[in-house]
Amino acid sequence: MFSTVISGAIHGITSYLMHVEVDAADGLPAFNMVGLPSAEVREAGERVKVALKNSGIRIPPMHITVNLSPADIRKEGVAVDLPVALGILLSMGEIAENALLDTMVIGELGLDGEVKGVKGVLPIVQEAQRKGCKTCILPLVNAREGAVVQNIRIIGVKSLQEAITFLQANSVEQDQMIAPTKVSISDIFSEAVQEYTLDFAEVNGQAAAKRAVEIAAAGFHHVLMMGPPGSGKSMIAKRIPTILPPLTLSESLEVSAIYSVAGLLKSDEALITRRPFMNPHHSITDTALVGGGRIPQPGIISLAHRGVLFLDEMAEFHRPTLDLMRQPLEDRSVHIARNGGTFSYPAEFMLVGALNPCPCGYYPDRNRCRCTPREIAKYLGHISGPILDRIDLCVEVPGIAVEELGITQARNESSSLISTRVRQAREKQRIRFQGTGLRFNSDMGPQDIQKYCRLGIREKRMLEQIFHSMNLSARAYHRIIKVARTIADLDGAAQISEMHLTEASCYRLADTQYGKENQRNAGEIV
Amino acid sequence: MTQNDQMMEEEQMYAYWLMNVRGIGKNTAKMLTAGGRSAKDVWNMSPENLKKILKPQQYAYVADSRKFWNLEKEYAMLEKRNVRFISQVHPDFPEKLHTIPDAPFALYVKGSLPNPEQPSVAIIGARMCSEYGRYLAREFGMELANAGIQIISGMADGVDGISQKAAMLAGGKSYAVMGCGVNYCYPPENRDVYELLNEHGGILSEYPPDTQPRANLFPPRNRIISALADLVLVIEARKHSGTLITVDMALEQGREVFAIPGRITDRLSDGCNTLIRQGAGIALSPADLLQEFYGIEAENAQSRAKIPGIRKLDPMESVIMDVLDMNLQSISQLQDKMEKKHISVSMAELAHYLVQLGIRKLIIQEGNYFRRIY
Repeated sequence: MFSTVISGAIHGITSYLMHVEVDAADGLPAFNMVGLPSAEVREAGERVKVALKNSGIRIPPMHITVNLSPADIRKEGVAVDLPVALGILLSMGEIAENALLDTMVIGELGLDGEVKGVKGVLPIVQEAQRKGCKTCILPLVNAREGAVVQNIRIIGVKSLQEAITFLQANSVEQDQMIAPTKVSISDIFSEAVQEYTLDFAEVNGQAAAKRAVEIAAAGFHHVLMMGPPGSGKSMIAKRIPTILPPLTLSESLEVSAIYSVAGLLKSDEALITRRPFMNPHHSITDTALVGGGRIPQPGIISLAHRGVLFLDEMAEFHRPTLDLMRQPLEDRSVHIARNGGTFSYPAEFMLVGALNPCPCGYYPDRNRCRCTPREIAKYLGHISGPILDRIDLCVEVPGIAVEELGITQARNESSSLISTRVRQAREKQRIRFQGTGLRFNSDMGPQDIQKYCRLGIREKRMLEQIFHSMNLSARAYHRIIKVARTIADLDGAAQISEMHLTEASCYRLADTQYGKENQRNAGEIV
Repeated sequence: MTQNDQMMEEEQMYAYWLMNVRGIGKNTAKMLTAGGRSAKDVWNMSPENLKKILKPQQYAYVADSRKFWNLEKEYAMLEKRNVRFISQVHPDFPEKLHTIPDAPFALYVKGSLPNPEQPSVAIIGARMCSEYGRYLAREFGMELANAGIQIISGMADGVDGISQKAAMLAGGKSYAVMGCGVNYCYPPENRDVYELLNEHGGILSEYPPDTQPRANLFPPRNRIISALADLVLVIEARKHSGTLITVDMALEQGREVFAIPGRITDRLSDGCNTLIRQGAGIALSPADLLQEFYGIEAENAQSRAKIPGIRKLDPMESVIMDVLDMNLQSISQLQDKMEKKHISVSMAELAHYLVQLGIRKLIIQEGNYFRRIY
């Protein structure tokens, strides 16, 4: 007899519904699986047979054929164990024909019949709900994750036996047996009232770096911090999520879907409610950074989506690896083409880089630094120009004197205070860019700058003077205006003023700072 | 060309051969030419006599080289590349080099040799110098050149190259003694200095023109730098630095040593301050040095740098100028310093003042670093 069970699978971070068709017929006893299954999917047959046996069900010797439809997409992962098992029972008549009507099933089976958790539940359930399914049978550990999707009944099961008993019961009995899992989204968000253990109040000194980070958070600019070892670069970076506005529901769903696909969503958290903060070690491989692999997986830059990607010791990263971020930084998503298809993962992150100004870390303090100009140029050369070009703000984090470390925290601003200003500045941007597709000041291209960053006559003259006295490039020009716009937003000003421009011009990497030390000074007869 | 000149040219040809025989350095060459023997005589020396002086391996090299070396062709090739070869018997060989212990056997010269009639000063100092050292290298190079003094140095990064470039841009002459062949520009960053030297001075080396830079070749050239000068001026030096090796050699050669004092907290001034304590002359300004050592009343040499536009500062600006230093400092460092003076100023305001001062060319901004010009 023939039966069909609805299941689902992920493709990148999108998902599709899959029909598991089972036919049990007379003939030589066999178990065949078709529909382009990968090795781990093909093994489902063995797991299912043993799991059924250990759940007390004997499969009569029959010719069983399982087809995974649509048959032209390669099936990866182990989420089809449970639907295959239920499909066999359905075709054998163990379960009533209409018991699995409008029901989506996913889950991995253990040999003892235990239902184990799978990856990508959130996007699959979302897809099921869109396609009109009424019920989802999921592994219990994934139930809360699936229950985030509203208007669909989520049944979490622990074992195959439990699933079978559930399906054999009538609807009244069913409700008594396993209560549908429910999750209140507003509760999740209020539970996680952004109680961060870190706070900016703990950072003493470093006013310039803190200010730069605030501007970066407000305008979603990428930021680079330079300073000697132990000056607090990492300390500041780790606190950036505390001043970013909390995730909205739609942002949270996006981020959670990525984590779900990567299998990083813990069973007790239904949604990711905090801004991600990723700080990979500099030994990271290409695939781990941008995603990929034979079965494509989201990389660190996608896991940092809507959050912070912190690259500590940025100059120590493998240069070609860093260069892979060029396209994602531009497009705010990463496209990975493999022979199994092209996958697209979102990657809209705030890049925070930290590096020492030279190999020893103490330049320009010549009392300690003895690096040659060549060494310094080579060190910064590890980061390619196109990457540096995307970084709007660059700030110096000088070494801090021991006596300043002991100062009480009273003088330092707290994260919540800074966060309020950041939120106000973001609100201004939201109103300004409504309906344009832009979200932040950092998204502006040269034309948008013309449109949204009108400068007065005095400001224009000032910028020209800065331009000439500092010998700036056209890129630096646009960067200064964009940053000045964000500073003005933080200030609550509608117009960019001279003050905003001068401050913005102080957050940039000197074109002459590295490599040309000698020429610059030998020629500088003043 | 007199007959004497011709003989001298011929002798140079043979000396050039001798300096290019494998296994023969300047000491062996001096041994071979001792007692009034010329390089030509060495070429014609009998194997028996040669064997008396040389080790067997060295003799083998000489004998081999005599078979294959084409005297005229090799020498003409050198001339074609605009490199002069001057052995110690040549009349142009600097007199000052004759008198030192361990004098070079010959010099390769690109450009010209220092004029023995004119005074010359060696300006030396740290390669990784501070802004203070840079400024002084520039000032002294320029002002001494203005007073007609030739600047001798090593064309290295930092003080050396800066002072030489400044001297030549001021219209003076400068000479570099290299630790590699004269056809090599080392360090490559100083290509512009190298080109200028070729035109407004000379590039000197005791090593064959194509010798690559090697660490062990550099210290010996320092003795030539100090020997060519009347006076060695140390701009900035760490303790135990290469600069101090040059100073030791200068003292051994009987050259005068002057040093520029620095703050005792600056590690880059340790060398100079120690020298002063040991009795070196103190150079307070180019004019001071000129008067002290040469007795020149240099009217055009400035006794103190004039600072343009300094009068037009408002109170806040002058406080900022006070906390600024010749070394690079970031905004937050400056803000901290202001706070210690009980002047609180916001980042934005401070940035505003600093950029304004930068536009007026009173200070220099390099990325997020700022420094004074003077």
